[in-house]
Amino acid sequence: MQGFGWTFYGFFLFCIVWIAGYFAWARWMAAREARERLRPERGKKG
Amino acid sequence: MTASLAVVLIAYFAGVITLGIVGYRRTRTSADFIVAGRTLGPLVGGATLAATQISAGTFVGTVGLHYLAGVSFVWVWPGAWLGWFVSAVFVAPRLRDAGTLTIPEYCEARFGSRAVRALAAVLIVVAYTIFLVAQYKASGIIVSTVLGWPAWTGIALVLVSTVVYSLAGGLHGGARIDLLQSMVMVVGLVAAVPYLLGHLGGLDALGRALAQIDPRLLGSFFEWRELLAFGAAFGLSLAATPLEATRFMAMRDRATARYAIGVAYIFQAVIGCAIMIVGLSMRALFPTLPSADLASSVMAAHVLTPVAGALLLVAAFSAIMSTVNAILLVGAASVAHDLYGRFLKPAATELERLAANRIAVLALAVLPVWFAMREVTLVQFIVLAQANLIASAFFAPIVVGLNWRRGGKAAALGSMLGGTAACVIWTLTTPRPLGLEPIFAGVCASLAMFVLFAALERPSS
Repeated sequence: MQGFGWTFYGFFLFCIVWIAGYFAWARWMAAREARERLRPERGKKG
Repeated sequence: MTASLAVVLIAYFAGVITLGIVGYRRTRTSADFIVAGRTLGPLVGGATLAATQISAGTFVGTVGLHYLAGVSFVWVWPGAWLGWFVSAVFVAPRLRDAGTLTIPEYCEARFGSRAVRALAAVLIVVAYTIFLVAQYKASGIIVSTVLGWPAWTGIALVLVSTVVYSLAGGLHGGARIDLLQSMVMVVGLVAAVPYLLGHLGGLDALGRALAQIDPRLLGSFFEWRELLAFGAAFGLSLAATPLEATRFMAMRDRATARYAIGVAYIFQAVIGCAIMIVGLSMRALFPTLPSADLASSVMAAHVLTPVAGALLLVAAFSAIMSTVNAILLVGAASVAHDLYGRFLKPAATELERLAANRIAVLALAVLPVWFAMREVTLVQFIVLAQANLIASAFFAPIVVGLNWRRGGKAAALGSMLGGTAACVIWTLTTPRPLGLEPIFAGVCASLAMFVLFAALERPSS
């Protein structure tokens, strides 16, 4: 007899890691773009 | 089942009509109709991306493949998600900022050619008309298998309901209905899982039953090379399909477009996991169905409780309707905005363009019915054929065109025509030349033509 292996449980783990990693990247990109948008405005003030 | 189905259907269509009315009230211009006034947030945007991609093929074909091949087919999803990641990095943010309403319009703006725009519009209409045939056929199959009604009633149900809300609300209504439909798909599938596992005696019992039928169902039925090929095919078409790309143009901003892809991952992860367990459970319960494609229909009709069965049926129709809606809106925009509004009557007013969009929705919806009523090939084959065609025609102009300054009119026309021709030749030739699948032949030819013509063309300023 044999049960489910890594092909089954590994996919659930993969989904969690992929989605968490993706959102971390998307947040980082959004923060970077926000900083880039602010940069010229700071330049004008200076 | 019939009483439960009636209750679930009434509740579902009440939701669809309400959201359709909301969409109608917000639709004043062709930009509202085509890209929802570029107002979609991450939740609605993610739901519309997920619902557009999940179609008849997922509910019938993917359940059937898990039934046939077991767990390993689930590893095709990472290939599709990689395609969306390529989109998140190279396509979605740039398309969002391109300021165009449709992919053909982007093609004209990027490559400086009206001919490229016209070719893109024609290819979209042709490929998506083929795709609609598959959606109609699947709705006929589901209705006849589960309810015993004639196939045309399923086609009529999908056609009338989807055309009404697509006509009325454009993407404003369609995207919000996609959110409802994504939720219905999640609830319909997730509700089936505990019921099926309870029926079988739990996850361990399911594993033991599958091991007795065929141990490969628990492990590697498909080799990693096959999975890579399946996944790459999905990924390549997802990275460049106008069906999804147009959705990015409708997002609030580029960050929203990225977050929406993340939300779509969540919807698809839940749906993908549930579909896997559904397919596996059906194999354990009914090891010898005459066709693997019948697994989901047999489950809805004979295994689940009437309410759960009705929910699953409505979820399957949601998958079909959301894809039909996306096809109609993108196809109609190609006809009304890119062909009528650019070539036939460039001076058309906003109201005339809006009316042209609505007439095109109706015409494109009715056209494939004749083909769907005939004995044509398998649903999954039609879905695959159009995905191959779209990826072959659009991968280079969209993904490369957005990220490489070189390449003009000749590169775009050469890559679209070369990719399409290679895809058609590889589809019609057996055995496949060089052992390549049509999508790889099409995309490689398209990329090669783009690079070749870009090298020959004078660099633009």
